[in-house]
Amino acid sequence: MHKSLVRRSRETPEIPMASTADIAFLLILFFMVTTVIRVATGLEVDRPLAESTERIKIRHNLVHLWIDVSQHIQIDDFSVPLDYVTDRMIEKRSKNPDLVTILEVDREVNYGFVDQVMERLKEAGAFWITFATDLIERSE
Amino acid sequence: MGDVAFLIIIFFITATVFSKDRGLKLVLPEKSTSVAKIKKGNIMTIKINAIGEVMVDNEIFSDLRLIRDRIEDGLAKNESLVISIKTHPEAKYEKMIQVLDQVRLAGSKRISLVPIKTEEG
Repeated sequence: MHKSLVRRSRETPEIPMASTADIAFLLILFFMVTTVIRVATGLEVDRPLAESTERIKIRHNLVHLWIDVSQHIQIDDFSVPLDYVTDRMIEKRSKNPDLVTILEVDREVNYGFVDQVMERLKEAGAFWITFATDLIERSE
Repeated sequence: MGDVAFLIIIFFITATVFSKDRGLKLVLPEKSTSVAKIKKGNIMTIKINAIGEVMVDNEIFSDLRLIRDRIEDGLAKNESLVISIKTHPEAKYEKMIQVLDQVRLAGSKRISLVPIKTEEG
């Protein structure tokens, strides 16, 4: 008993560093898998607010379509005039038939214009759409 | 080894954009190939006029949240109720989204978006 109470203080404590590289690579893998590098920055859009906003889980067959206040349309990387929306969407759909189009429309845009764009999406067969909104929480 | 790994980590941390896409999902109908006929009694029409007033059965709703109760009542009476949102082309998109939001909150699955035809086209 007496012997165990005597501490040998000569040994300096050490943190094992051998596994840091493993941890680091684990983190790398995590970030590599979760990274989606955004190509398109899109137009400046003030989204409408909605309570029933849901998170969109899929990521790989999304097409973004922006409409800003001055009624400019941009589909992913390209600025597209209204009359070419159909062609552009058909082209997109030929590569990936089950696209989901995310409509990022400014809240001040007239509905009539949005409707025209939606008509063209229908023509192109892009039926799955999502209106991009920001979540608003209301206390009831 | 560890240094290089951390360097790569830093790169990916800064390059990562977590998907922040949020919105209201909707499936558009197919264009004019099949016109679904619905009995008039199964349709509840919500109209939005050019200045953004919202009407259900000729009654103006200034508080959009009341529409939700109205739809819930309608759905309770008739499960196959179709909500038709008729929007004037000059109304703001935001108004339509607000109404659509209430319709979705009321739990309606059958929603139709219709533009009100104006004389200019």
